[in-house]
Amino acid sequence: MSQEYRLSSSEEEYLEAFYTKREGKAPVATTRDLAECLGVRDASVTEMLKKLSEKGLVRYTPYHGATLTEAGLKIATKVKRRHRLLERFLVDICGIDKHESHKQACDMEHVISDKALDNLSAQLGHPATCPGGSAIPEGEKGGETEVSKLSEMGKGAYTIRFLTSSEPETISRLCSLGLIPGLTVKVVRKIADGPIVIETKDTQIALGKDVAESLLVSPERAAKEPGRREGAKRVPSHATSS
Amino acid sequence: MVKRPSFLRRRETAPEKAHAAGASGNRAPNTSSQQTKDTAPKKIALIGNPSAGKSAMFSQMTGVNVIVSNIPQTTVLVQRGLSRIDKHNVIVYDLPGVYSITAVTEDEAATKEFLLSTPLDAVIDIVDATRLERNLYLTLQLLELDLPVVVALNQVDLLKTLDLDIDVADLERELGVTVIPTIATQGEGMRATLEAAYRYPTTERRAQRRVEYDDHIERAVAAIIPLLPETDLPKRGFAVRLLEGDKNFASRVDARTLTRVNELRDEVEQAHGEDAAITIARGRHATADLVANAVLVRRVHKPTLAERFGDFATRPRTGYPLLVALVGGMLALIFFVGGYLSDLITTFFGDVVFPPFFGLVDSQVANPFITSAVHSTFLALAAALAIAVPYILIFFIFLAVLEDVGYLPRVAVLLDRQAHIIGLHGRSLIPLLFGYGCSVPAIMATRALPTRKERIITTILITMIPCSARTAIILGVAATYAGVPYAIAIYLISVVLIIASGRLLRSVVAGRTAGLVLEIPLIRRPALVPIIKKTWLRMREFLYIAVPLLIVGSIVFGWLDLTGLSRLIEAPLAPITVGILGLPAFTGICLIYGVLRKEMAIEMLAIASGTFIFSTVMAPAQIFVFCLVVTLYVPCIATFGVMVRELNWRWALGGALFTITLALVVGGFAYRALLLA
Repeated sequence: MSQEYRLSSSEEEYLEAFYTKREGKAPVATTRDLAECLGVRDASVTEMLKKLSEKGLVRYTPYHGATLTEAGLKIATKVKRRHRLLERFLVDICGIDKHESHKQACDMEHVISDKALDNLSAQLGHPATCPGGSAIPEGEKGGETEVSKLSEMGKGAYTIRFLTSSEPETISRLCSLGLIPGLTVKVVRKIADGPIVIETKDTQIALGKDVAESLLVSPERAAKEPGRREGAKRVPSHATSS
Repeated sequence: MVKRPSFLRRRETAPEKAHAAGASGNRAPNTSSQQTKDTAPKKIALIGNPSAGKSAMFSQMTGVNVIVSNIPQTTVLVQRGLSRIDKHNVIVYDLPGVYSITAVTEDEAATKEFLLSTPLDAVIDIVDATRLERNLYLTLQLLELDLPVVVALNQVDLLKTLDLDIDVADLERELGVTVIPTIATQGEGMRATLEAAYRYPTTERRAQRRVEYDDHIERAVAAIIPLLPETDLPKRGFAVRLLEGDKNFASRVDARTLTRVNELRDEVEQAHGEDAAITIARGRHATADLVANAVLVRRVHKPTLAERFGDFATRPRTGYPLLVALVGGMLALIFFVGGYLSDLITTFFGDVVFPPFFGLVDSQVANPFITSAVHSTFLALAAALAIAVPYILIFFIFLAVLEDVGYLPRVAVLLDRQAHIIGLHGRSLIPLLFGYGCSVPAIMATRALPTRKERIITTILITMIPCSARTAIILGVAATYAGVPYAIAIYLISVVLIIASGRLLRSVVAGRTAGLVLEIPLIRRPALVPIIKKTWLRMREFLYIAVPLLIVGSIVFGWLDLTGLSRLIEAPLAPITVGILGLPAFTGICLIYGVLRKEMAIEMLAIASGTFIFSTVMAPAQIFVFCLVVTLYVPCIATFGVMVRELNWRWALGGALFTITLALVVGGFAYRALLLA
């Protein structure tokens, strides 16, 4: 399906770096950022950005930096998903330590096929986070990888992808309530042009419109009920290795 | 056993004590406090998430009455109380509720500061059983700082209605600390909790739960630990806090270490592409999730009536009408029931008590100063009972019910959008609503607001809100003696002025506001005892402070009148009272008394004019202007004091001048408009 976009390993690494940046709070990556992140020279970055820009994967403005296009984000998300799922696999199944798993996943992520990855995800029980705790992006099902502002969402369940608020108080409060990337929340009430009420960890929390706008979410991939059912102990999917 | 001299005995127990102090994370910079430990009472602190039930537990343990609400962040100051175990005194502290030890608001900062600076023998972590996973986040943070934690698993009675069950033994095993199920509002488990805390750590110390962070964090923590200075703080916890960017901890290390920490943090952030604080928070939440899932059993759950009511209250289509009905209902209740009681009391005193009593006093005592004082005292008592008590009491009962039910945070949700008009968020509406009760606790409640700008705006607006004392004036005087439309007009004018002032302050006050992030508590059935208790606590303040003040004020007033000195005070005020506002001259002194307490303006009016039937001494327009001015002008002295403490002199004076000007302008304008009409 997306084989037409199968890129070189280094191209994929670049897009992945963009994704990581974005996951923080920086949608724009400068040449310097990327050079540092990937450990290459500035000049190579500039060259690569031009190449990616020609393929329509990044929007590149010399001296300003670059952002991912929609197509670019799609691929970047996919690469990241491969990386993190593979880490999960290496740690949980192969018993490799977390640091080593990162290195190996970096190599494996460029060669594994989509089908193999989807099956692997299923085998692992569709884990939500990598061994490091970062969210594993969703698989491409009906192109649902798009993120949108939580404020624009109706009732339903969503996974938080990015926190983009610029207020330290808000970020800090969200963190202590657990509203961080990777968490699934349920929108239970929405007041037109006003706050929304979400439910998570058995708690209802009201978020002002501005706060909800700063949370980027994607629809949740599968209904995941936390907590163990009566009688049956459930092993949490993102348990850190024992 | 042979009785040994006391110093030997003390010596014998010293190592054990030192161990206890060490394990309890004694943070005292000097060790002198340890030497006095044998005789000094043990110190135990209560900590927990907002609305987990700390205050209820505190008053159960110590008998100190504190106001307990179903509103997150009710306690804004550290409260201290005494309790006894085995004939030993124990000092119990009630700390403001926090979601984590990362301080966002001022009350949270108070909790963190206290925890880090006070040597404690035990910390009782109150965990809301209905919100286990989220509450465990704080527990894990406490354990990370090596604090002597005992967990009180509170509100276990509510688990059943939510179709949840928690395996307490499992939870103890998972956390490695003592866990005691409690129902703080009913006093269940209090004794056991306090004893467990008192005996800490005599129960064998188990391996406590430790948060395993992601590899990058763990490596950075390992790199930081050797750099840390020798303190009483646990190194791992210290290192994690530094990595998180906690300023309080950063101030405890030298510049070189800090530079290295910043480098390490950059590396972690580089690898994860997000704030290290978020990565660390994720680690804790994952562990909390793990623990919660291991001990929590869920059954199929159907929404209860209470949950459906909560839903009803925030759905705009039903929520707004409910809000209007409640506010309207409350005002009507105060007006009719309060008015009825007020009438009853006035008649009782005026017709039954005073004539024979005053006749008796006048015939027996010759000294006019004494008879005047006696008259004044009883008039003041009657005024307090007749005017203030019925109105204020009913309001406080109403407020207590709304608080306990958990309704107020839902109002914040409904009105968040409207609050933006005045530059605030829905969160600010809760202190503002408290302002309809009394400005002082309302201003204290602003501590829970995240930014200073919001605190300043909310505080100044609170002083303009008709508090229950002013409600007594508006309903008891304006509505009764000038007419209901006049009373409604005062409310409308105050709302318009608050909106206008809010808009003005929004652009004048420097700083910024942070968005609304507010926990919505469960709807609870109000219980009679806490409501009576809370209402009594609030009324007590009125009875103990206001009534003596009123009596003294009334006696002095009587004497001023007797000696003719009152004209000396009224005269300089006449240009304002008579000139600008068109009021009778005797209102000048009432306005001065109103600064002491708002409702005194009206009580003194009754004393100054010699009647409760104000319509016989003032025209409806004058009553209206008087009530309007009293509602708006200058915060009362207690409010002013709390403004100075919570903001500073400049803002307090500025706020006072602003409201005085506003009152005179609006009052003068209203008087002239009514003259034309």
